[in-house]
Amino acid sequence: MVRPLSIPKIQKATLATALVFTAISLLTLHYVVHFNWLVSVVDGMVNNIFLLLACIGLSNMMGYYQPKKERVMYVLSITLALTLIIIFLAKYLLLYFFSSADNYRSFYDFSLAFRGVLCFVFLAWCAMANILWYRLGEESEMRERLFTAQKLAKEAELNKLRHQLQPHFLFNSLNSVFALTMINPSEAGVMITKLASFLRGTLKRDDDIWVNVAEEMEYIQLYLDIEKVRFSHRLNLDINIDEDTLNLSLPGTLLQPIVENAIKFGLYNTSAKVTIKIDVVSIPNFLQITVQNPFDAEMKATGGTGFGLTSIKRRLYLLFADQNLLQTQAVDNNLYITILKIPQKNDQSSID
Amino acid sequence: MIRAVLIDDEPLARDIVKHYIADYPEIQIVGECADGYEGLKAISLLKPDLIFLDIQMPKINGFEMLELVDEKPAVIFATAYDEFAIKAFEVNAVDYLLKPIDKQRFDLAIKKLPLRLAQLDRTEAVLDAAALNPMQKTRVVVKKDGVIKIIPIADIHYFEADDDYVKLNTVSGNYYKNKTMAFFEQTLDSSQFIRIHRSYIINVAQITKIELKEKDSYVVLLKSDIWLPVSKTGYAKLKVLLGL
Repeated sequence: MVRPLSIPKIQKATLATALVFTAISLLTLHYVVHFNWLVSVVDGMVNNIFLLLACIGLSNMMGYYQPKKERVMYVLSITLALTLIIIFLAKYLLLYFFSSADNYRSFYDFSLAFRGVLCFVFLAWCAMANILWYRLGEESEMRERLFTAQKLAKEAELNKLRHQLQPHFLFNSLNSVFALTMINPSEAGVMITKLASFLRGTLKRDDDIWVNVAEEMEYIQLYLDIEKVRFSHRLNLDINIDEDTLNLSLPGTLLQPIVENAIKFGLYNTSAKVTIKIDVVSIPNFLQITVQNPFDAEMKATGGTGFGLTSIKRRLYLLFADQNLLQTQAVDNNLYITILKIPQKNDQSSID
Repeated sequence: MIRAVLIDDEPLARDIVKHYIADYPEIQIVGECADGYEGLKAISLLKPDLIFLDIQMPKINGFEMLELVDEKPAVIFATAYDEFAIKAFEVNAVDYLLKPIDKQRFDLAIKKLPLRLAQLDRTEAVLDAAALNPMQKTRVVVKKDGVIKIIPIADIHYFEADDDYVKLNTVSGNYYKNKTMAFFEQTLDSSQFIRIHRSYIINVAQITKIELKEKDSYVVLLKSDIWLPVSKTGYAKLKVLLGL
């Protein structure tokens, strides 16, 4: 946080206050108590320079550290300690200089309590001003943090929505439907209903909602069917779902991005015929889904960053605290295999 | 007669354009291509007057393909969704169609089919603007001896000005690109590539040392064992970037 004394305006004000205070003290000593100029000036300067140094020290110290609790007690004890130090340091220094002046010594003893109170009040005021400064700074910093956090959350939400809608996929699909309305109207109708079902499925998906394999694979099938209309001539699907997996379940937001990734690298990035293979099997305690897509090694190096999969890995970790639920491997430099494992509890009701 | 080539990876998308063009007997479709490589081949072979060009395609995208075409035909771009591309089109007023393509909009594009020369400059401007897209910053597409190479940006050691071209010194040899140094200086990630001299942009990851040659004149040694001169302003930029 910004130190108050690093601001030029406050530096000037502090200096001005110190000068005025010094002037008042030495004028009072000369004209009211009738000491000679030398004594008045030295006394006023010594006391007030100590006070100024204490104030600067106090302010800087509070910039370094402030206790969260018992702030007032902390400040009062420090102020008191500083006051005692100043008072006695000034006294011994001044009486050492002016030891011969008898009336000065008696005056000093007489005014010591008054000097102490004045010094304490001034230091306490200085400390309070500093506390207030830092408190206000903290508050505005916190407000700013909160504001930034809200802004980031909003942006993330928007990005999520945008990603969910997959504009590139959506508009291209619409374009394909549009072409079908002219070339093959009955096929266009089928495609529109599939697109509608797919979008409906997309909108109701959430990290917290588990769906069973039968429902999830129906959704994936819709997505692939639409891609097949767009790229019918070269997209081949090989989907195998084991009977005994149909009642197992998985979070509804994990598989689609994996398949999407497979399509992106396997289909969008090449103009050859491709086969996307999906196997859904049950292994002890886990549901295992394997997605295979061909890929172009040269393209892989320059193309995607695998961002989609990184975010899935992170989400899997958040859901299950396990780093190894998503595994990928490249085979023979042209086949990419993604293996997703979803832990299954024996008691299905506990995860629903 | 206007000879046209359709370049789009989705057959149905090509079908729409074909369907629309049927209304224009003066336009003849002489070729259909499903990716940028095929597109390049068709353009050099058939020398069409007009191409319909999709942006998102396998291997190299529409912009990258067009960069490699020496004698550019008139271009009507088509894209489904690409914020950067659409911005580039709008700014440079080149004709583009959004998918699904509306017939009236298509007719308008054909009607104002631009005078070739006037459009050429604007097409170049679109390519420059499109290159600012962060997706485009990861690689450079070049052609050498008729072969197209996609070079990951990290494989480039340095760029060197060479007459009207920029020479790319890379892991796999030298390539030429018909662009300016200013273009690369502007489009490359400035934390990765830095223009150290009027004639050189270097990959910062390639630096092994910087030496004082004589007063106020520095040289830099790259991992590939090549010394390059550093100008005064170039040295200032290096200092900032490397925190010297």
